[in-house]
Amino acid sequence: MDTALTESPPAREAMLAGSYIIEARGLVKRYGATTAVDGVDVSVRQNEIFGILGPNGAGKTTTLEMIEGLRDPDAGSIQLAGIDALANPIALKKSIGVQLQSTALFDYLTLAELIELFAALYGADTGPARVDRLIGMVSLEDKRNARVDQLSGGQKQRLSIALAMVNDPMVLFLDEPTTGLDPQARRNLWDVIRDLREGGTTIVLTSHYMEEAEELCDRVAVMDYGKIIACDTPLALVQSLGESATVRARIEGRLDSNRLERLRGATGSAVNDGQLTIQTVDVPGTLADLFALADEEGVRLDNLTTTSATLEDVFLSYTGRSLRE
Amino acid sequence: MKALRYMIVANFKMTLRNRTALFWNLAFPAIFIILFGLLLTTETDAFSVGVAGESTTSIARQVTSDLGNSSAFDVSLGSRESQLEALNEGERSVVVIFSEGATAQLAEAEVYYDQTDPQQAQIALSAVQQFLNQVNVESLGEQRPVTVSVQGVESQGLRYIDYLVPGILAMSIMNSGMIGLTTAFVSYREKGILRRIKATPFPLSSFIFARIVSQVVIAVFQAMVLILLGMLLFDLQIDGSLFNVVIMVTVGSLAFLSLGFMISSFARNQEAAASLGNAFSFPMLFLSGVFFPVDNAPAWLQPITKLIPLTYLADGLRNVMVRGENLPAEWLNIGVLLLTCVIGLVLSVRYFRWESAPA
Ligand SMILES: Nc1ncnc2c1ncn2[C@@H]1O[C@H](COP(=O)(O)OP(=O)(O)OP(=O)(O)O)[C@@H](O)[C@H]1O
Ligand SMILES: [Mg+2]
Repeated sequence: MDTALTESPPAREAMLAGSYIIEARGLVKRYGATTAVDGVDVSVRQNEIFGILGPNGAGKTTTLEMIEGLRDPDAGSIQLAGIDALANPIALKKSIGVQLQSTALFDYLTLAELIELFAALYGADTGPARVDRLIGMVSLEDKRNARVDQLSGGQKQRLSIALAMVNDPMVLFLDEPTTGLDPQARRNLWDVIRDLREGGTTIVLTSHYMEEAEELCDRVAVMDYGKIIACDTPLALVQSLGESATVRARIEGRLDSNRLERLRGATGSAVNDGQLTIQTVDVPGTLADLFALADEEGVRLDNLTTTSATLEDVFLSYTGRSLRE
Repeated sequence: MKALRYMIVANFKMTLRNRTALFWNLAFPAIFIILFGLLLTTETDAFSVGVAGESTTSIARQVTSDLGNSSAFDVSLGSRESQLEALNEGERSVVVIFSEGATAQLAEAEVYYDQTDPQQAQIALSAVQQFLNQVNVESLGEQRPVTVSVQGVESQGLRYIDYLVPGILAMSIMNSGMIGLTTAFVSYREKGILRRIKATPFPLSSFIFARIVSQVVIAVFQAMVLILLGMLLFDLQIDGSLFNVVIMVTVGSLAFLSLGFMISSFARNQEAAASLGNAFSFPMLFLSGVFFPVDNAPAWLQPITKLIPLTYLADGLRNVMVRGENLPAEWLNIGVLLLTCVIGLVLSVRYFRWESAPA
């Protein structure tokens, strides 16, 4: 007998709820006539990388900064690691690390001095060994004594992550950490973020790059117009579309559309001017059946491609708009 | 405590490494002192000095002939009435009227000056006073042979450099509060540095306190450097205790820092902060007697000078530096400055903003 199946749903809920390090409920923030965040629930599990994905103005920063204690919500509640964040902002700030979407840092200080200063502001250890460890964490060893204005964009982002880690936070919040970086620098930063997660930190980040959310995040909340419209693992989100991939090929000759529809996993097909398009939820099955069918009919397949659906398609299907207008 | 200490040290480092701040804090006032000091010592024209009553005592006769021998003065003799009339008509810079003192060996000198040209008069006056003081210094007797009384001038017994240095000091204290601090704070807000601080458990009050402590220490250091400069180059006389000077600098610095905070709370951006700071500080410079006494200003202006905090700082500094006043005697100046500080702080906390409004 499978005991898991006999468990009642509420008990399962409770078990899962226990593993959430952040639970925000019904967050609302209004600015005049605009409702920047409109009843958002966020639940983040211990030690995951949680992404909030959405276009400009979706309300990502506002949501994040309410949880960080930087903006007061008009409604809602926030529990973080057992702390009532709204009632106890100081305890909250001691438990989290924050990188803001845009922060300049004090001029005229070196990296090491800035890290020492921020460590002191948290009452944390300011010793050189620890400063070096933080600098090493973001691979800025050779910039230890450089001033902030001598850093590149990617190096600045890494520095601000190091600054966010000075208090060994349980949760690290990163607001668009890779925006404006070139692909190489972005990948470097992903490695830094993954290492931090390996070190036991829970990470909440925002992004409007779907590749970033797909590659980096364990779970993603898709946000639009102040609301979370979907929240799951990137894979589950993509699969929820029911068309996880598209198979395309040029064909010489004719293929029976009824037989195309019956290919394993296929959910739809079309042939236009010799261009075959098949939506499928099972790429290998569909391809195997397609090859067999083409062989049988004596039809040649050229320029065969398969494209997986992406979070971009998820966003498109939920909102009818593209993520990047 | 540790956090506060690190923040203060970081502020020092930032100020000392900021060339612009260093220029405004040290080089700019130093240049002022040097320029004015040089202008003062290279008098080109002889001052026209009228003397009356020169034959009342032997010492008066002596001083008059010494004045006449000095190339700095162009002495003309005459009756009290005729000299004062010449002064009224702008033909004299200064008129000295001798009369007999308590004994026949002593002289009293009333000094009048041309009110329509206060700056020129101030220089001439200081020169004459310097001269008269010289006579006093050279006579080794118990009593000063010449008792000087100056009519209508608050800078009694001051050489111009002694008058000027405390004024320049007051000016630079005002500037570092109302312009330096203001623009720095607004730029912190514009760049999001204030929000970054807000994201840490370090309280705003400590952040402001750290800034105030470091600015005050820098102001005291600045005062010491400028005073030293005045002493080395122009033989500036410090009669008061250095401790009193430090207290006065501190109180003045607190007042103008808090006004600076107030302006930064109101200003939307750095440009606005700089304009507001200048709009407040520039008129203060000229209405508060930093460069020359305002007693000669038109009567309707007088009440305005009394409304200006800089007046109290300049007066206070002058009193403790060169007149050797002690602190209790300065209760009015100190009190007004402390009151300014409290009002400024209350308003800046009331209108404080962590972030600039979105564009
Ligand atoms: N301080 C503010 N005052 C007024 N409106 C604001 C303020 N902050 C945000 N908004 C508005 O709230 C909405 C959400 O903004 P938010 O910054 O949270 O979006 P975002 O998802 O982070 O966008 P981006 O990807 O551009 O960073 C926007 O319409 C924005 O104009
Ligand atoms: Mg944002």
